[in-house]
Amino acid sequence: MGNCNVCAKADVVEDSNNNRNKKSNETNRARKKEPKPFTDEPARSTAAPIRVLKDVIPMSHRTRISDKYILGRELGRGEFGITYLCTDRETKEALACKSISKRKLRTAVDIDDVRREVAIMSTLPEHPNVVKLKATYEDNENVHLVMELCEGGELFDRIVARGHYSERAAAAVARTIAEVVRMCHSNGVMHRDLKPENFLFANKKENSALKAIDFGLSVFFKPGERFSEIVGSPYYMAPEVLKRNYGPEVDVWSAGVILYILLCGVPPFWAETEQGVALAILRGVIDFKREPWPQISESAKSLVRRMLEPDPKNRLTAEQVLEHPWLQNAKKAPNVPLGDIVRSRLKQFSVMNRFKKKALRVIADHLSVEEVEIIKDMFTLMDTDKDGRVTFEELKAGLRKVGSQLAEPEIKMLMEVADVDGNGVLDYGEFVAVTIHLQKMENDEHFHKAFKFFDKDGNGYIELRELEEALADESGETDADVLNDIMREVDTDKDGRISYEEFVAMMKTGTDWRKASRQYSRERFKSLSLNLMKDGSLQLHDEITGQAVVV
Amino acid sequence: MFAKKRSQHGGVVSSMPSSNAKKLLRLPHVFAKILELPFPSDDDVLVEETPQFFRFVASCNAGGVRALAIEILPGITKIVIKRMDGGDVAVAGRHQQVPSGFGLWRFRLPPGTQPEMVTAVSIGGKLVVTVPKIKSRAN
Repeated sequence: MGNCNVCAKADVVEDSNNNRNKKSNETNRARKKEPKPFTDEPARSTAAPIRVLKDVIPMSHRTRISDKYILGRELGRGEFGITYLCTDRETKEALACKSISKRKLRTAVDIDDVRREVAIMSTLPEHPNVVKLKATYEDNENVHLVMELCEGGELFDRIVARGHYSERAAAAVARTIAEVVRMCHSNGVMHRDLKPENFLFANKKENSALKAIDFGLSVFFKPGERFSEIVGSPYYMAPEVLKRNYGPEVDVWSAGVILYILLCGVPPFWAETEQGVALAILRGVIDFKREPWPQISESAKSLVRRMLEPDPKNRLTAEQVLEHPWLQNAKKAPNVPLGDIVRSRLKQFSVMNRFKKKALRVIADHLSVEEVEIIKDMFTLMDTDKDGRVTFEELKAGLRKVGSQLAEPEIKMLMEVADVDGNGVLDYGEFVAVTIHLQKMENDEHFHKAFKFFDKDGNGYIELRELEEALADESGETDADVLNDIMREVDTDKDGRISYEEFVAMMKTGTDWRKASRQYSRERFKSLSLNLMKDGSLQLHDEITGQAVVV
Repeated sequence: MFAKKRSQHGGVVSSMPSSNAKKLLRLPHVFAKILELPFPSDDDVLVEETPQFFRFVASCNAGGVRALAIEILPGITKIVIKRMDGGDVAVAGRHQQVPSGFGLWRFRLPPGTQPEMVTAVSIGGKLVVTVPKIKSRAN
């Protein structure tokens, strides 16, 4: 690789006695600070500014960054640099500029790291999952790296926001990271600092491309070459780095740590102190007992184990990770929504007024044979003592049986919100109501039939009397306040009765997660059908064997 | 009844993400020898290097201080500055101490230094930290 030679020829930057460089000009970006005179110290002249990029990259060598780009607002801040929004004066293209202050380049090692980062980013071929370096500049205060702009935020932030990922979504991220590692290694680059903070999404969409952004600790390597320098980040460092004898396999370990975090939300090697984290890494014990690991597929756990293999000789390579069945069959991985999505939906159910819950049960009574059969079979599957009611334990065991990924807190919430009469168990009607809500039926025909059920006199409106009558059937008593609250909530035009449009609007409240719900329903019923047929304990009718439920 | 259920759900919802969030943190890099000072990462610190030592000088109003060389593992040493009573020196601009030093002023010490021999004094409104070099090396 030509650039390796360029690196080898680079002049050694001599350490200055004073690494601090006073700013001769206040720039717009710089924070204003009071000067801090050291009056007790003898006066010393400012050393010549450090030359960082000399001989590394000839491009744009003698021009200033402001000749071609306008620097704008701050996008982010890391340990060595600040990233600004950057606009090309000619093309108006939006870019990102990582400005590394020379005040942060405190040793020759720091300087070498920046040179190498530039050399590596210039060497790696263009790749959809690696941010592209467009130009480099140097002035007295900073080294500037102009790169393509990624506006979707960090992988780190999405993990924290979601809690953890479904298997399918985690597999997509893992494949991207493994592909980045494979590409780096095949080009003789070891990353050495893979972590969720170092991956940015190109845009804010759920399925946005993910890009590696920071090669500040990366290094060129030749096959068989060993390294002893301790570099990396807590949680993600491989044990052989801590033992000072490692090669590129360390990146697969880091990717394995990220995959573990994606699937459950916390690092596999965790402690309160840096020392504790390091000891946990060396101990190498991986916890697959805590939630949600028991619900995660064996294939996913197999991949995690083999990426977090303590002996680098036995660890999968990036190539082998990409060939692993769990990644190869990623589209078949469970995609049941977990975490906040389910909790949010269950909260919606809990605040739903009783009229809507009643309507859901009416819809249940009008489901097609195929639709109702599956829900009934699910209920029967869970009702193991056949008493016509599902307890919390039965619900939990049943959800496991159908392959649900719900964690215990979510199952508890499901029980609490579905149990309308508060007696601690779910009857069939309650079970169906919450099941339908989770699926979010979109067939308007169901709405028509339910509406007709309530509209006894067929005049096109649900009157207060009809509402009272319908709810009295269920609770055996009528509460005027409850009726008035429902009417106030649903009767949006305040004409004292509920029109069909108002009814549908009520039923569709909270449909912003429609797509996720559709996928959820499809996966749920597919999973149920498959498990029931394997189980052999329930016989499905021939006409619906193998059929997907229409959502 | 619904009000009670709602408060319960709120409890369930808040406990799950926060317990995970406490365990996944942004942490600074690990190096073999690192000096961490109780200042924001952008603060002005004078770094002086001689054949015998590195010296770091910064304005600091802390009272008595001492330097601790923490051995994270054999081969990994971190120098931190503590008050004489062992407590943390307050960092300007930070109301809460962030675990493990993210955002603090740090210096990656070169291989030829002896962090375990570090000394620190607070005198005349300045903190002075000295890290000796290994004597056998002639610069």
